[in-house]
Amino acid sequence: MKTLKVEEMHCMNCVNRISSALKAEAIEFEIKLEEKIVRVDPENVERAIDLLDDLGFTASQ
Amino acid sequence: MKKEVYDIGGMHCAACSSAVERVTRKLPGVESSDVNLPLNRLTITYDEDKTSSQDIISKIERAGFSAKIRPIEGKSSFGVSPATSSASEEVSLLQEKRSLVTSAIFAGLLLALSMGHMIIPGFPVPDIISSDTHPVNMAILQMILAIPVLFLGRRFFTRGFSSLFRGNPNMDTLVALSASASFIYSLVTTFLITDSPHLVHNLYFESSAVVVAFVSVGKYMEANSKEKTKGAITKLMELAPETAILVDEDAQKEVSSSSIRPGDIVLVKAGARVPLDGIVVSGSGSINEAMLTGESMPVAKGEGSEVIGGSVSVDGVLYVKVTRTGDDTVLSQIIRFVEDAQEKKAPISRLADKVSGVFVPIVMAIAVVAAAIWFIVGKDFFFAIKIFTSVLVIACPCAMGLATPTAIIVGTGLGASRGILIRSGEALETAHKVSVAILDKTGTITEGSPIVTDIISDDQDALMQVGFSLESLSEHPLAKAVCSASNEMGISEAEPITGFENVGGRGVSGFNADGSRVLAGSPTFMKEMGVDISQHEKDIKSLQGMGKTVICVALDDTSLGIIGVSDQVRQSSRLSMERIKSIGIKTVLLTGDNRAAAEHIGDIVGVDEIVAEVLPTEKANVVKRYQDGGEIVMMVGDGINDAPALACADIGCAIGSGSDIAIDSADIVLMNSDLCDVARAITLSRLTIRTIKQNLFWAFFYNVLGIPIATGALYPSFGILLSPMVGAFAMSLSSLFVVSNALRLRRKEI
Repeated sequence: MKTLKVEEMHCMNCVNRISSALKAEAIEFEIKLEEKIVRVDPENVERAIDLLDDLGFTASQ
Repeated sequence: MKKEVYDIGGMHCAACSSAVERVTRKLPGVESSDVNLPLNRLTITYDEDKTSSQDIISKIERAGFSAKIRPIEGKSSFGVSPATSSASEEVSLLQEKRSLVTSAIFAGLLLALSMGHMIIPGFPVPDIISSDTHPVNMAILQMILAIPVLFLGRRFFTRGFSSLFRGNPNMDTLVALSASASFIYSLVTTFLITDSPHLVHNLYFESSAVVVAFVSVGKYMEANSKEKTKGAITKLMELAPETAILVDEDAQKEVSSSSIRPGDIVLVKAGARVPLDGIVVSGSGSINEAMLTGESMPVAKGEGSEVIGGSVSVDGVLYVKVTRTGDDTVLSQIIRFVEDAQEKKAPISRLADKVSGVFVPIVMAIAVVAAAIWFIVGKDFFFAIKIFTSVLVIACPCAMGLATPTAIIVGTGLGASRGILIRSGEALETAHKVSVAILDKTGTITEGSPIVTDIISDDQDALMQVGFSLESLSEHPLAKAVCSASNEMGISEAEPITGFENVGGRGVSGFNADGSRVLAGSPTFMKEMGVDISQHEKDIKSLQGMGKTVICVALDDTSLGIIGVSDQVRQSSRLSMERIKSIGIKTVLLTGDNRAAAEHIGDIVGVDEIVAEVLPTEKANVVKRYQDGGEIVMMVGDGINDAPALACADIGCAIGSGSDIAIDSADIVLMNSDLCDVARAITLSRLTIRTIKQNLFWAFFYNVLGIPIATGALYPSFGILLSPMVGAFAMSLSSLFVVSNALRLRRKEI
């Protein structure tokens, strides 16, 4: 799994939005709110970054 | 460009509002996009040729929120309709109250049924549902009464389990696990009652329902308190009048305030609210600016006076030329200020969040381990479940989550009602640690409107003509004083000056039409420029000794004379210094004036230390010097020339009239021109921090006391156990205490 840093994640609502979006695109993921990271499978990193951008988050590797 | 307002659904926090702003700002042609989180509203300005409402809505929906455009007609000039915004929140609170009452009824009935006989011997229960004769019926009835309560509190289960499965258990998780464990266990037991009727006494349907009901009470109190404490914003918004009387040539008509544009003339009659910020072009009267300054004494207004939207006309008739509308008005800036303060988390609040984040998994572990230990030592499964649910319920850190935000909301609201605007929870938290208050002189300790009091020269007209010609090119308050005095002497035409140069903080120079060098500035400046002012030394010392500023004027290398300028000390300055010192803060006067003048002013107002002859560019260094000495520094200035020092200080405090506030540069803005508010702001901060600490203590105290009892630590020696119901009650009590303690702050005198 590749780790993306998402500093703007703040609460469970952020987690829920990200989860729904990644699930809808059938991307395997793991979210750690405390560490402000989202882990995705390596093949979908770029798609995940775009999706997070659409949600208003800036993800960095 | 088109401006639209959208209602946004699904936002919970500042991160959500930032996300909406970020995604909409990326759309082509968007000039500005701002979210008002408390009102769930987006205001966006965009080029219709490049993007559309549908594009905006789609973008927001893709980000996981909902968006609906609001009609422009009928909204106030401040971008909101106060009546509508609070009405939707009131409806939501009313619905929550109805759910709560329904839950309470069912939970109450369930409690009476299951525990009535324990409290009141011989408690009447119809035979058809008696535990002795029809245990299955009793069990089923209890289940039927519990289900509506759990349904009405379903958000705890959806949020709690969703957080658990994502590896981020939170407070809702504790409630969900506890209520679920009690209900499922009781459900299974119900099926076993037929074979073992005594099991009817081991049901915990009432625990599951009461836990949810009590926690719902806590959440309702939280929502209700937030509404009450956000009253400051609602009250400010209600000051915005919906309509205004537009004066168009000779006609007057009542129009929506939102249709007024800068440059329009509006009529303000006695008793009416000023609709927007502006300048009086005709008429006279008195205005009550209490909403801005907290001072209820009306202020006289005449031609040229500035008026603030939202203030009340007491008497007279004013024709006002509008200068600011929408988000640019002073009232909008104040509202944004208060909203910012209530949204941005203080460091102590972030600490509470972090602790909660660690606390929940630890509590879950304690619950499992305690239950397991009791089971292993020989207690039955029912006992173990009771221990498990009790620990989860008593440990619910709801109060901890409320401890800081309620106090900060109340504290900032109280400050706003007194004309003290605090930008953030962080500013509120830092202000209580201030040990030194550095105060700028001009415009802070003094009125900032210096006047010429002495003109010493053999040819006063020549002196003032040169002085006026030079100083009319400068914006410095001293320059304005010279120009004003020259006008009074009948000098109103400035000679043309070329090569004008402003030597920051010291003087100005240039060349007149004859090519002669002309200078105006401090005695030090004159000496640097090689002008002999020895004949004026005695007068210079005398004027400076009286606290006056001396301006020397020269033509070529010849002194034409000196001008004495005096800036009146504010009436409240001495009292303010005493108040600041009385709360243990050291006071420092910071000025570019010479030492003698600074000491004169310093003696009048009673400061502890004086730092004089400081250039504007060096003020920040003075702040740093005190900080390097271990002091927590508050810098108090008029927010314009003092910006670097304000930014450098631990707390930057801007003082000034309503229309001149540099809100964006200061942590705290004192709307009154009253230095006593410096002491009030610090006192407010101390009271708020004390309240937060009290809240955190009590929140933790309940948990620390309750958890060991819930694990059964007192059972072997004293036979004491904590039932899940009592745990839920105690937990709600702690939330009630925390909220009540925060609301007490509203009645404090600062």
